[in-house]
Amino acid sequence: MSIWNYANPTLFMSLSKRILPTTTVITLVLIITGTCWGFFLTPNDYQQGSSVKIIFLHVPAALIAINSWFVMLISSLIWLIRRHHISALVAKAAAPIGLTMTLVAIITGMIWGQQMWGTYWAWDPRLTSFLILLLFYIGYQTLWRAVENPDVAADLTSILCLVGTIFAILSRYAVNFWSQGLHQGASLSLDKEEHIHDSFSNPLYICMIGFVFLFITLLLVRTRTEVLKRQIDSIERRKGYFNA
Amino acid sequence: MLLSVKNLTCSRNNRSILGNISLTLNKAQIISLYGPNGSGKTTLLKTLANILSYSEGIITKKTKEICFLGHTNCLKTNLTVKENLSFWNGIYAGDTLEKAISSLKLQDIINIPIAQLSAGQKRKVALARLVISKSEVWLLDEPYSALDKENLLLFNQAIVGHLKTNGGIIMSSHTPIEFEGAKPLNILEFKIANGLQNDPFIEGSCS
Amino acid sequence: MISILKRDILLSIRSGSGFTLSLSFFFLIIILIPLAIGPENTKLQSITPGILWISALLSCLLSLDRMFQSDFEDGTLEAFLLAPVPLEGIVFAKAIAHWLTTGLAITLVAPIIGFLYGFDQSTSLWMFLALLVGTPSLSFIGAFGASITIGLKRGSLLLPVLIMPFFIPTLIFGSQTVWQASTGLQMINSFLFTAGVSAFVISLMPFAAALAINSALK
Repeated sequence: MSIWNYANPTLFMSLSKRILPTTTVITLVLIITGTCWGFFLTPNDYQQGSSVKIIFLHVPAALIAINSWFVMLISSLIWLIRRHHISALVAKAAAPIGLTMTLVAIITGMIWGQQMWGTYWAWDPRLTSFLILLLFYIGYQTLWRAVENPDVAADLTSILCLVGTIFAILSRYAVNFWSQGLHQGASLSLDKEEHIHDSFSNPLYICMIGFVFLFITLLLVRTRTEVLKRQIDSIERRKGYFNA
Repeated sequence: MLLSVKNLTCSRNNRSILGNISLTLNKAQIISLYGPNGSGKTTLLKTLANILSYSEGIITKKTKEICFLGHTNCLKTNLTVKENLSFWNGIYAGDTLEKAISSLKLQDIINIPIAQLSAGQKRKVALARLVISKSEVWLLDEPYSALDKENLLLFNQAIVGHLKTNGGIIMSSHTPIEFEGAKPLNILEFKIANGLQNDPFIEGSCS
Repeated sequence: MISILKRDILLSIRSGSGFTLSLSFFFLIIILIPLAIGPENTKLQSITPGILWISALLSCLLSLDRMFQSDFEDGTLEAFLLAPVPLEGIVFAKAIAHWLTTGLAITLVAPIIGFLYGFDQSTSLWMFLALLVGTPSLSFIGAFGASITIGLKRGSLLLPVLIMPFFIPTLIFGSQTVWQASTGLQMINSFLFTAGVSAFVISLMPFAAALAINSALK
């Protein structure tokens, strides 16, 4: 029984139904533990006060924002090569999650930036890259909604995701180049490695793993919704044939 | 043998509408595919032309070039007849431009923009593209629509000319065409009444 | 392939007023931006490279949605599938035709504008070179965007939203080239990156666009 069998929508639905409660519980446990530990039980940084604790949200969100696109990339490749409808729907389902995480990363980054530099926005390479990633997510989702035929939509969005990945990487490099050019030497990056206390690392890891499980849970829920939507569409269309 | 089809299934919207299609198109042969509206003639022709994909069956092509003429004319309305045909001549790397123009009697309208022609004249120019294409197989979807009697004769002459050069034609229409030697093929023979449903979200098939 | 090039240029002249439309748009944006931000000359000098690049970018967006639309509507695109010319070659020829009527025209005109804005000769030269190697990538990315939005309702609104993020690398490297040239810094790296991005885009986009066209026709 290879993993490809789960590309069958019915099998997928039954498997996801079985594992969803488990992942939900793990998610809740990890996130609550991680954030409470991080927010309440760690010492305040002598320089930045308690606001640095926003990294317990910022870093995991940023991690998921990028991984979500990666999941979309793999799913798009699987759709283009093996034509499993489930993978197309996984890609479609991952997009809003990634978009939200990117937004969370940007907003928490801005809040953190306000504390560190006194301004909500600065053209820091990392924040700018996330802004560009947001644009890619918006474009991808808009294309899904614009095409009527779901299979053609899956094709076009998969190609967009592939090409977009290349440009996203190019843009990251370009933005680094750009910010070095304009701010030669000034390091305005939210470089977490240098500034956090060691005691932050454990709750941070817990939060990160918790967010990964959050992503998995949300992805399963959204994919199930997409599958149900497609099933309803198919039934409606079939009813149309019988009535005609 | 130019084109051979075995056990082909054509589907539209995840529903099989034609099944068990088997046919062979030989050189200098014309097949007249007939059936009522909506019976799947265009779907079959487009599948043979490789525009639509198919899930079951084998299509064997012993020829490299196929030319498809559908309901649209593939002509740019702001350009003249000559400009349109020279364009297609360039695409197909052809050398039969003059022959196409003279055989379909297009000399009079050669410098008129397509927008100013009547529907029948536009159809004639569209047919000229077939002659220019140097393709061995012509797939024609209701080509007689919009043609008057005189142009119909010219078109039939073009068909004869094509068959003489050992080309093959599959032509669709509502009723079998009256052409000597045409092999009639009723598309309703292949029609699947309650189409085999292969929607992956209901039948649960994998890919 | 040359036939497509010739025909598309002919079509754009007959029905789309050729390169005058993109040039007019280009001029419009160049005039509007300083009007919006104030006339101090020194302020303008440092951002002029950016203004010229943005104007070039926006002007390139203009005729993109028509690139495949009319061929799709009259069945020519399906005929291309069956023709002996590869689909990638067709995309390539169309993108070049688009570049000749937008990017190239802007490339020739922009240095003159820069000159009027007070660029020295070296900066104007680099403006010309940067646009020359950068604008083709805009046309090819545009061709890809056009291939994805064939036949969509509101496709012409969706196209810029989809591909403008893809313009970012070219925009950054291209405008950096000119900015560095104007302030006397070493600009050759930016220029090489601009050229590199263009070369990469030109080789990749036709294949991606051909895939999209095949899907759109089903």
